[in-house]
Amino acid sequence: MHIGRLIEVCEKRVERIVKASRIYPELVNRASRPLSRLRLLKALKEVVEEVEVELPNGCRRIWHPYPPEAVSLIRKINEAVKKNGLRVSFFNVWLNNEKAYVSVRDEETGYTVYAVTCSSGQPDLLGEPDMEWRGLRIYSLDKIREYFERCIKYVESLYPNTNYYRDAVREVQSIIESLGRYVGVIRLSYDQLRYFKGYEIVVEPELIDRGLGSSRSSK
Amino acid sequence: MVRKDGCYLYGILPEGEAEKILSEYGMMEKKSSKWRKLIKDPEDERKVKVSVEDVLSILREESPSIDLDKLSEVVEKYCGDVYLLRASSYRIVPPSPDIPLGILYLSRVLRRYGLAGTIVRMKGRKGRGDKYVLLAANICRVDYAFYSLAAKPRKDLKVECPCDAKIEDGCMVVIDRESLGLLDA
Repeated sequence: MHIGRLIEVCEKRVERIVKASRIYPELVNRASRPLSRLRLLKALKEVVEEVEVELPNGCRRIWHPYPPEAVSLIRKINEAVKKNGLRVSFFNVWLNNEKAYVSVRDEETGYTVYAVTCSSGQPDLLGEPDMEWRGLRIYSLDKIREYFERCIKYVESLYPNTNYYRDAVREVQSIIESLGRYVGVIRLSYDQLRYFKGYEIVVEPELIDRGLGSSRSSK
Repeated sequence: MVRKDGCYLYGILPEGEAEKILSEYGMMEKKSSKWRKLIKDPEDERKVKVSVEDVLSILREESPSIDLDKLSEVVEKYCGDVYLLRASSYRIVPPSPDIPLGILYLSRVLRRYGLAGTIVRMKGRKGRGDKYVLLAANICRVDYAFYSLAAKPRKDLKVECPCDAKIEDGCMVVIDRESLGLLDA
């Protein structure tokens, strides 16, 4: 849906409330949510052309790293809403048919819209491994260092005003560098992890047998 | 009174009191019979279209608590069709922007005149039942069912807004001129 159309619908609702308030002034209370909604949509209009009120069928929620188009849209939306003095909560991203849907939730009213952009797919920050062995992807330390640099750049592009993550990345990097010349990487699904006292514990018996029983900090 | 086991229980009343109760019962039946003449042929058993003159003539004999002169004035000036609605067939709805402006306006006018002015919606039709404004609630009782007098606004009713409302800097401002006494100024 074009954002102009949604703004029109919202304006009609506000107009209706204004007319009703001329008869029953108590109805002024009904205007706060549509007006906040209208403010958010007008702020989004500066950077977004297409929005959806509900996600279409078949959308798949994705985790980081987000597609570069979604990252650039998130940055633009952040700037636009800050400029208009609004507060929106954290963005989530869904993919469907080469389109990315970025959720924008107004913190004041809880109203959520999905900004739509095209998507070239999720970037692979880790890259191709030097070797694969029984599901383990093995990388040289140089490649891992490059990976960490790409991670930092990605976070910087997404959240330019935060820097707390740098220390965390450096800490992990120093631990990995002390281990040896190569690093084995395995993709874990959420079924294979359990959150426990600030740690994500590997619960898959087969992976534990392979030496992945250790935990990693999620903080 | 009939007990659970089928036995009849009788109460014994002093002679004077029994006569009083009987005469009250007779009065009630007499009142009901007048209303029954109006409701005998309902287009919909929950809602009966009536003429104001008929209702007023019955009400004048009953001497109700509502001001009948005000009622007839309001009906003449602001109301279209007048109905008797069975009390169990409607639901009270609070004023909201989704209610037509004519209904909202009639409700406010009726309240200003000291009449009920409650907005009601007929039950069923998944919340989209017809909306009416009550002139007087539970005005009569026929066959154990209470009926309320309700009306729809006139089709040519001109809505004169008693308040100013506008959007300023993304906020809504409402000034109730009527309550502030600025309406005639």
